[in-house]
Amino acid sequence: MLKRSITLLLLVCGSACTTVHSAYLSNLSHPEKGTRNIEATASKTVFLGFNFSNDYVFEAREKLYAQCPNGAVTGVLSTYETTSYVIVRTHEVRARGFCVNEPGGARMADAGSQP
Amino acid sequence: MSSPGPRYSILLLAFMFTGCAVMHRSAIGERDAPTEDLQPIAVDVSDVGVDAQGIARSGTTIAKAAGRNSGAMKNLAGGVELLAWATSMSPRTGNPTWDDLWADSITLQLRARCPDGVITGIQTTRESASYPYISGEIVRVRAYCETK
Repeated sequence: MLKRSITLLLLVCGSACTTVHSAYLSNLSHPEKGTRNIEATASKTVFLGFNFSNDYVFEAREKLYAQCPNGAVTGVLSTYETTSYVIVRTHEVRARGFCVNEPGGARMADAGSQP
Repeated sequence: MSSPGPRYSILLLAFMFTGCAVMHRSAIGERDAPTEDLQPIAVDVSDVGVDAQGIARSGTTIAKAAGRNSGAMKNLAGGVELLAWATSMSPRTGNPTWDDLWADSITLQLRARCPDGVITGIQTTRESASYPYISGEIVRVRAYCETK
């Protein structure tokens, strides 16, 4: 009986509920030909709801653009999701888009740091 | 040995005035192919949100406790709570603010930081900093200014 209860408890603790709070899709300004899929995520794990900064969300943008240093980033689908475990919640921003490579690119490295 | 009361009170006050950061939404936009210098720019705007239902609930609890034998006091407290609920029951993000114009200046502020360039790679977030009964309702924007 005890083993069953512990197994059940572990199952409950291990299973998670996911919520998508927002989803936005930007313009698809370039034709599909010559595009490359790019994806980036930034997340933060919060214990008992104590969260004092949301700066992590901007990392997703930096990571996404860093994958396309010389091209245009288009068709960006960005979502904000949370996954709840019993006392822990993971907050995650995911961004997926397309990199349209163009010659004569420039100096994204200069703008790598967020303001 | 001194009483632990003051210490707990300070701890409680410190806890109450530490705002929890709540994320509501985040959106990332397109970024043009960089051709020249890209300068990061940032704009944050905010307003004070008020948790009218929370205030009314606490007020009702206090009023009911104070006027335990007074039916009129209970009715008044219940009425105030109902009014607070009825005026803030609709779906919302964060706490209600006094007006809905506080975020309108974002575009102008962005443009002021990049008067002669193209603003690209915009990420916008909607957040709250939650305190007891009040909150900071926040919109943050991060972008790049591309000057040619």
